[in-house]
Amino acid sequence: MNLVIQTVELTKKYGEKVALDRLNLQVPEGSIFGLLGPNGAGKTTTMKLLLGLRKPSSGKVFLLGKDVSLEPVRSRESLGYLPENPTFYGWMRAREFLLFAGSFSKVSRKELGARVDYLLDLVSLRKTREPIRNFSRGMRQRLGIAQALVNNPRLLLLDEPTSALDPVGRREVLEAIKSLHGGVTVFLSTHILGDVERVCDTVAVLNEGVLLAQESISSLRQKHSRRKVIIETGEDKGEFLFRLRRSGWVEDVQKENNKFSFKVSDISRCEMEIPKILSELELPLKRMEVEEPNLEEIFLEILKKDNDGSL
Amino acid sequence: MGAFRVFLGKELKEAWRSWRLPVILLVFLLLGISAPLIFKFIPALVPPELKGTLEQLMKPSFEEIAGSLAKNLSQLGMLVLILFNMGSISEEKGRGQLELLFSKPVSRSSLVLAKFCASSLSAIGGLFLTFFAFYFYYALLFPPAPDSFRLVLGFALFSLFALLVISFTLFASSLFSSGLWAGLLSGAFFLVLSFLPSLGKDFSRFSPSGMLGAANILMRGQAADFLDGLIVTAVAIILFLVLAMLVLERAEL
Repeated sequence: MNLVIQTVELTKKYGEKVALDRLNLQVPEGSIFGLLGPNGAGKTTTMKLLLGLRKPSSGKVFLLGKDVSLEPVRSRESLGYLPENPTFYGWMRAREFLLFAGSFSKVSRKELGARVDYLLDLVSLRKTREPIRNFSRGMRQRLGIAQALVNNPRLLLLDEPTSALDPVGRREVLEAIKSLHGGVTVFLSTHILGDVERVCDTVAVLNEGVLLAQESISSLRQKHSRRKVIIETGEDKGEFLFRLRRSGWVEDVQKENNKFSFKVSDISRCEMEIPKILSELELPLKRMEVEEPNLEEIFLEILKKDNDGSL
Repeated sequence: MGAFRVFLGKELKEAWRSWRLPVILLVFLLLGISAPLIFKFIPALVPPELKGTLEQLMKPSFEEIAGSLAKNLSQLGMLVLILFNMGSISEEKGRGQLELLFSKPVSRSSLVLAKFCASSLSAIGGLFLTFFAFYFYYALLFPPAPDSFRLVLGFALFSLFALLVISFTLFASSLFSSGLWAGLLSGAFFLVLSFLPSLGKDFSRFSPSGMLGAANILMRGQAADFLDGLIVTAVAIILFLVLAMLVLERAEL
């Protein structure tokens, strides 16, 4: 596995406060990697440490195989970055800023001009003639995305890329990120779980500077969350409910008429045991549904386990 | 070199579009024009009974007029340079513009160097206008034309002092996220610098403002030793530039 981002025991302290505690991130090439966490979890600190904008208290960062502390300039050559609140030179125009930002890459003037025009079309700013100081927040965010892509990066770091956008803009940005899959590695931090679910294939969960989980969304689903099972049976006089509650492998059992819902962590055991119990009770099974957990439930469960100290 | 060139272009363009460069050029041009004009026309504007006293105070000799120019330049001119450079780094840092900029494959030092060169070019351009306008108006209003070599020497020494003011202001600007604090620190530095020659002969000889005093004397046509002050000023320019680079290299954005 080729890693484009690797952190080794990365720690950042502000005085006594530990903002990031021995972070070991591994981001594979070609992935769309989501860094999830509540506000204050250390997402922006991580982002800035990756870019070398802040110095780590200890630990190492490798970007595209280069040690950021030893080769700070070269490690950023194939990288694009969008800060949470991108700030530009207000006196410049969009095209002018993109040409300026692209001048730091090793692209010829002609190629850069064509690339800038393509990106202005992509973010719908081609026809805008006014200086950036007059841009709305959404326009600035779109320009921020364009400047991050101007050097044709291999790695794109996006800090809360959709937080300032309206639903339409958000959808457009997420689609654009999705379209990069495979060609460009995207590392994005967000607290919007829906965004991660829509575009990311791998996630890391951060809370109070500590990495709680790091894996593909599918394995996270299998590992960390219980699935919700809904069963509809024939007339039950309370025996089925009693057997379920006594079983020990189901949780949160709810009953409404002859409809039962509960959560299980081992779905295969559930698929084996439920028909057996119903057969013993001579109850017909009318319907059985298994609901996949969403990322929000997984996320909350991971945080809950972390707070309980059981992770 | 590539990043430096791009930054320099951006700095010069910004100085022009934000009116900073035209204002600096205009202020320095006016400083050059004002000294001969004031000496020529003020006596004509005062009531006849005060004319005798005024003529005693404002003798229209080259020494007096050049002395007035040197005084205005070393006070007002340098203050303008502080005002126009105090937010150069600090405001970009405070607004978050540097965060985006330094995520590109550039060294932070190249930005400091570009800012220094752009500001130096405007200051030297402004000072050139000052001395050129002074020469032209003096020759026009008080012929014959003054010794141009004296003025070239004055221009060179004032330019060097201006570079020192700029390099210190950039250093101060790299320390803060607000231009105001950088301006106050630079103002204090400038004030201390002005008082150094009054502390003794050695302070006068080795201080940058002592060099400015020597420039004043040289412009009046007298001999003055400025070499020690020049060396100290050149070393101080490099020192403050390196400090500004180091501070910015270590800054957490």
